[in-house]
Amino acid sequence: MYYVEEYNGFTIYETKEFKLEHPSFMLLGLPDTGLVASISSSYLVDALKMEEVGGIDSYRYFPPIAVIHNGESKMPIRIFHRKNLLVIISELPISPGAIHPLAFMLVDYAQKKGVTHIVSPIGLGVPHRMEVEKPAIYGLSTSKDGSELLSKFGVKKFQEGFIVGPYAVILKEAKRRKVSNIVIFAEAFIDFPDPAAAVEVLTILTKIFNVEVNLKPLIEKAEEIRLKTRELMMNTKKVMERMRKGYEQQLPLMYVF
Amino acid sequence: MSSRRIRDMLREFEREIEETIEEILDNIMGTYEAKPLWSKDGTLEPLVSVVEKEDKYVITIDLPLANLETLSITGKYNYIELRCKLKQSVKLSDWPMSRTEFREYRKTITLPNDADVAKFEIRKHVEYSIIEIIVPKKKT
Repeated sequence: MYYVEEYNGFTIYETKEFKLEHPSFMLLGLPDTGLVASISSSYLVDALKMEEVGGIDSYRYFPPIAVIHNGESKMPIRIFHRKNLLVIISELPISPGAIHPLAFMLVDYAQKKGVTHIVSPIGLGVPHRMEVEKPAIYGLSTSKDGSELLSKFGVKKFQEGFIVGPYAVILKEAKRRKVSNIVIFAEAFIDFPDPAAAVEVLTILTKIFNVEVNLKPLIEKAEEIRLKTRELMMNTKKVMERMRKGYEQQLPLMYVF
Repeated sequence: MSSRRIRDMLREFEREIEETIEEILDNIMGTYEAKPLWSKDGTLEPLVSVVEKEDKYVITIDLPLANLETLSITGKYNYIELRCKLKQSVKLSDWPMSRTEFREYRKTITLPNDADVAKFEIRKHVEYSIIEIIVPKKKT
């Protein structure tokens, strides 16, 4: 074990030594609307054959679960690395009580690792998703460099609205600590997994990370992925209801003037 | 300090600890659903979303890999029953618990008593393998 840190109910482990090249990115794959973050980050880890270098666990906030992959016990949140990229994927939705300590820990960890940009892909639940052939993408960043990256790749600015959940806390905490957080929103189904939205997010992410990834298998396997992620979506939906995710369908006060 | 006062303080402390434990357990266990969405008889349960409108209920059902031509929906009392075969049989993984081959979606959706389940309308979105069932409310 190379690095272990307790952080307000969570423990972060690094099981392998790794060197993060710069400029670096930390992509977050926490289950949220349409499982956009989970699908896109898992696909990227698989496509880039990223190395698992650690994980995050909590005896306070997670149920007593051990995740088994390829005959090995894994942590509920896993950390992957390749060159200048770190990807953090959670197998479980983050319960409302865990959001703040986990968000603070992730921003803190990014600072300690010298990460240039934290990247949050978010599903933007739209009721008319079935009429949308190609989900629209929006973005924002807490830094000038992050905003420049988004405009360089033609991402429209997310102007007004609410964000609810772990990505909201990470965004506010990153801004407070002057850490760059790039947030990418993709229109998505509110209650169902949405691999098509993940494809749109990955189209932008691969440009930002400057990596080549074939997205065709993801498009072809979209229905199979939707079928196999139903239980994670069901649990995520339950969590989202508890954290008043419905706010995202509302307009902030500023927007009415 | 009187012994009665100490007893009261201990009771108060005990109550606070119990509340904190309940809150923590609610935050953890209240969030995670242990129910699997499959059955060993080879059926899968689809994801369902029900939205109540002023004059109707809109039920949206995600049916990936379903053959929508085999869709069967019946309305009875206050529930809607759905069955739909998959395009081909599916195995979820090689995980020992799920060696079952799945061939069909099956789901019973219970609605409030004001739903007129005899008069439902179906909208198929074949490109997404998603269907909407619109159930009007009974006119009072």
